[in-house]
Amino acid sequence: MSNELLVQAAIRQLLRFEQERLYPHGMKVMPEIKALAENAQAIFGQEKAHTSLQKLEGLALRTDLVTDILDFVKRQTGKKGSSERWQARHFGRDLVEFLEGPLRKRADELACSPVLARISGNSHTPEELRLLIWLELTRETISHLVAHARFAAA
Amino acid sequence: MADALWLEAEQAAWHRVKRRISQLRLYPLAQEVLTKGGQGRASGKGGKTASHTKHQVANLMNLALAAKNPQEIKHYLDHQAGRQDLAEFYGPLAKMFQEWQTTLAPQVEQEVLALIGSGKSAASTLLQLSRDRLLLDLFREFCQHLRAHHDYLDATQGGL
Repeated sequence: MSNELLVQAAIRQLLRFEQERLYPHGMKVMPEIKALAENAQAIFGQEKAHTSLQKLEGLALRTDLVTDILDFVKRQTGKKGSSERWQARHFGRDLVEFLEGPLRKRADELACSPVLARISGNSHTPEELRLLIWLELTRETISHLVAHARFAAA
Repeated sequence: MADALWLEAEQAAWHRVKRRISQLRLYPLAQEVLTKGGQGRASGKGGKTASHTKHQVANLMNLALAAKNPQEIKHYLDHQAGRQDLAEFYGPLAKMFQEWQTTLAPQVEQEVLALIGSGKSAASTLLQLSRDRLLLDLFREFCQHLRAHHDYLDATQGGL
């Protein structure tokens, strides 16, 4: 099997364990994500089909760069007019700070995992691994965030 | 492999490396440029207003979209860096772009060549995709990060 596939498999394995942390037994969702989702629901609840959140979720699934997601959130947060909703309840700021803070730190930790270190001839640099994992964690977070916001609205 | 397929693979390799550089180098760089600008103003060195910085960011974005070659970008950045009132903002950008031309672009080319291997593909890559195109693309990516971060700071920290 190619190293690329092995690295992808190892990251998926790490994320399965990480799911447990993001979504622990007995809890509906990680507290930080729950707080973000509740704010999202309060702010975007009136939007038809949660358009803004749908765009965010679509981008998170489509892109291969976490910086695309961060740029999107930052631009939405910085917009004037009707899009100032991203500034309400500090939603945009809190989301950026969560993604760039605790989530990025967690990605750094996971990138040092022995599971990845054991793959011989791994061509990814530590920085590349960190970014790959950060992207996957960000996708998971946004997926939980959107699901929870929709659930709360139902 | 058929020529068309080679070309496709080469373009994919260029795209992949450029996007990686955008994430690894350009995104933090855009944050750094605006953070340093903020510190300058905080210490009273800059004297720029929020609308002033916003105007410069918009200028850069327009330049990134309109420039037809890297020389246009370099000329504009050098010219602005030479103006006393704009030197603090444009000086680091002019230096950064110079560094891209001398160091980053050759480094990216090496990465692309390593990715696609040597021989026919390497030779045709150099013919098909020029360094000028690479620098234009990198500058556009950089400006997009810069604009997003600027708008974000403007909204969450009450202006730059």
